[in-house]
Amino acid sequence: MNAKFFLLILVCSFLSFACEKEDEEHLGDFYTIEDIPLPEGLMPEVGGMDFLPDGRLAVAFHRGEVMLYNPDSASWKLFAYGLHDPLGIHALNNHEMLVMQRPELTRLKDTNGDDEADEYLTETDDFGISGNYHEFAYGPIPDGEGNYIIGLNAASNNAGVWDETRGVYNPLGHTENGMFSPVPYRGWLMKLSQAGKLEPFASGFRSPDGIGFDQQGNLFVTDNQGDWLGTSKLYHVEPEKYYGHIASLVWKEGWEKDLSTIAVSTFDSMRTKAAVLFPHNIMADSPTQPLVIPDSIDFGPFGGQLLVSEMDYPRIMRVMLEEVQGEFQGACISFMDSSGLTLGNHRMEFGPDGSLWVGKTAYAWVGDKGIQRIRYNGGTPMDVLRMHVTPDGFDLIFTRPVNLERASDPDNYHFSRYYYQYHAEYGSPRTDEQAVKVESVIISDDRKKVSLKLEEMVPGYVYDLEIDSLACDQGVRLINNRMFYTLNNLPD
Amino acid sequence: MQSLRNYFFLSFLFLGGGAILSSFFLQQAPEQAKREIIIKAISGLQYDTVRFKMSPGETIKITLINTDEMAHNMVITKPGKREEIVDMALKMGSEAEAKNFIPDAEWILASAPVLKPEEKFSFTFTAPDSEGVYPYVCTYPGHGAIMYGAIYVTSNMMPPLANDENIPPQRRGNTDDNQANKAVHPYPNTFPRMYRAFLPDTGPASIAVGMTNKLSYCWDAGTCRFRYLWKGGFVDMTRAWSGKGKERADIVGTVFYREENEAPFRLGSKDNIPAPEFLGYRMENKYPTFSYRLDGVEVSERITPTLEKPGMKRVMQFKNLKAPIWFVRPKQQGVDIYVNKGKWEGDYLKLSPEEAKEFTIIVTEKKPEI
Repeated sequence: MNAKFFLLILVCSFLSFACEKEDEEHLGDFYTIEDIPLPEGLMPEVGGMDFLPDGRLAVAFHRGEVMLYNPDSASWKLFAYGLHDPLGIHALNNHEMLVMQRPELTRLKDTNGDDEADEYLTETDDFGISGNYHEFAYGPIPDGEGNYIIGLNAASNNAGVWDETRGVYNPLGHTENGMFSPVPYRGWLMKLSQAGKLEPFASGFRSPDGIGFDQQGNLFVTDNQGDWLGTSKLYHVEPEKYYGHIASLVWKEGWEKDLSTIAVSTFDSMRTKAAVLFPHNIMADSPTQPLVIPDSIDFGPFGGQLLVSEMDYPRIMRVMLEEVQGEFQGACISFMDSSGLTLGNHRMEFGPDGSLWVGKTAYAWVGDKGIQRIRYNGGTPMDVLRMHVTPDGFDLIFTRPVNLERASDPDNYHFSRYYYQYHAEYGSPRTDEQAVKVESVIISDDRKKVSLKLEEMVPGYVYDLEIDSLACDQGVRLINNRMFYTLNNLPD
Repeated sequence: MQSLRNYFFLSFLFLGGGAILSSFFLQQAPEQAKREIIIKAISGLQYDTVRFKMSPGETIKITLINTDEMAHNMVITKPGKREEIVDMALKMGSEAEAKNFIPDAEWILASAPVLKPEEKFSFTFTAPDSEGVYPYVCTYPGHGAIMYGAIYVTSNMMPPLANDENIPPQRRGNTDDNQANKAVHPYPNTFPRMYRAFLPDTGPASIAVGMTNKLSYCWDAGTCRFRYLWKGGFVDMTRAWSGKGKERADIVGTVFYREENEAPFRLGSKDNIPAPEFLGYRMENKYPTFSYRLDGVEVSERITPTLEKPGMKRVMQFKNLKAPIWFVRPKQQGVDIYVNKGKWEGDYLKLSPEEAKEFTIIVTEKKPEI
């Protein structure tokens, strides 16, 4: 055999081998996770986190403490204590913060500069509590215009209502099955105006633990799978709209009807659907806080997008949103999966240095304890940057050019579609689940955009995409290969 | 409809799943199970039984009952495989549900499928002939890290519970970090101290204040009023903090004074129940001074312990009053009640605006008569 020819064969087989065996890049190559040291005696279940202007982190914990962490000295200082299930915190300045605890929104104020609150002032307690354990309270999230949004969980039928409630008891709101709303405004988002008045903002929530604004001032709220929620979801919330969990409706002005006499189709016609569904048992079982990655920091290629933390998996999700027919919809994908991340991801906050701090909780559900810090090391992970719907399929925009040969093969893309039922039962199976064939693939000249034409696009379904093997042109594996697009509307 | 569907699901588990499992074990172990172990999945991601012993080769019946409000399964593996199976289950992807979050692995010895709340499932299990610690674990996503137990296949004793690395740390005997003798906060357990918490015999927005380690009170921020005073201790938060917060904290000691009246202070007229508005509290020497409004009138209330007899001193301030107020005589027996200002008119103490600017109520336990 001709030596030259032999060499050619050798090179060819080597090349094809390189193509077969993708180098494994992990997200851990781009992002580093560390555990934050914690003081002795602390039950480190995090309800709220926010940075003070001076760079210290204020954290509210399950047993009622608010503590200040100085990242420079890695030291903790007790700021306040004795609070009831604090689940949100917002720093006003270096000496003052708002904390959402079960019975009220409280302003904690250090008036003598010793870094310990001496005033615990009620900002608002103008909502009901029935003594039901499930009536958690979340927020306050500033809307950028001087107002705050807070969220009021519905009560659980795993427990009752006390004889003595705060707030008027409404028997219409004390239903036997599922979550209920016996006192005002359980299952609502509320808006605290600059003038200090607490007003109903939007209804139809079961467990709105995660409240956050994007950079354009759009409000997004997560809710948890359960009754009336076939799977967990992310809503784009606008004033006065109703989002689907029926318990809250009894506090709608002038409401007098027994909820059990109303047809599901009526509730269905009233509701605003979620922008993004998080498939249960696959993607998220308990999504928590949405947090935008600000363009002002360098946290990798995903600036401007929302991260959503998740309690039941070692996962932070990323949401790729777009406006179609005037409404938000889009896809969720993992941002970080394992790579040292623990469970219980509950509260997230970007530090002054652009690192992401993640507080954990469990509350005897699935979860964990502690605080982790995620730093971006630079570089571009091979990932799906954006997913856009087209009239007959989807465009995938990648962070790096794809491998032409691989990406051109329609068999690399496995779509299935299904929907979740809207009903009183707890959760929903994936319904009418079927595979959807990819008919053609077009790749852009820069090899960063892959346009997929599907045999069928049906609004009202989740499009579940798993990409088999889609190396970038350096033969590096795609880091997250499964995403879920909630197709509410098709573009023209 | 749902319950009917559950019933069919359950029947399937029993008739289908159970039959398959038991026939499998019948082939493997013709010996009949002589004893039954009942394991309950309970609140807080736990099995109620975290370990038990079997003799090598012994056959038993295991019944898993889900008494929790979440779904759970149970997988028994060969020694040392607990963490691996949990990890594998998490990575199962879309087939996970259909396979009950139980991955394919030859070293799985037995399993119970995912049970919804209130379902149960029985299966026969024959211990391997080789001695060892065989873990069982819930592989439902997120549960496995803390929800597990151990089968000791041995003819020897099991190790002391406190040192048993094969069971979850929080189940190793007296290591409960809620115990009063252990630090439960990152600050010292000194008095005075306080909690806002669910407490007995009061509204849901209440506050417990331990003035000393032997003298405490409950104040209701919902109705803005004093509720009760007790001696002998503070509160035990164990039940309130365990689980999801369903239970109220327990009072430690004996309540000896209650104010049962829905409005101990009356403004405008004796019969008027003023509308309360809680403004918060200010900490001074670790004692809170409560601020609130009654019918728009600002009130402050500071409670400190009395020294000689168990009791409290309550300094009240009503600001900018234009008319007299009334304090309703508490009905409580066994205490002495003294107010330093005002004039009793039957069961009402009348205080002029000037007197109500600041007055003191002292409540002390009566010495038992000899």
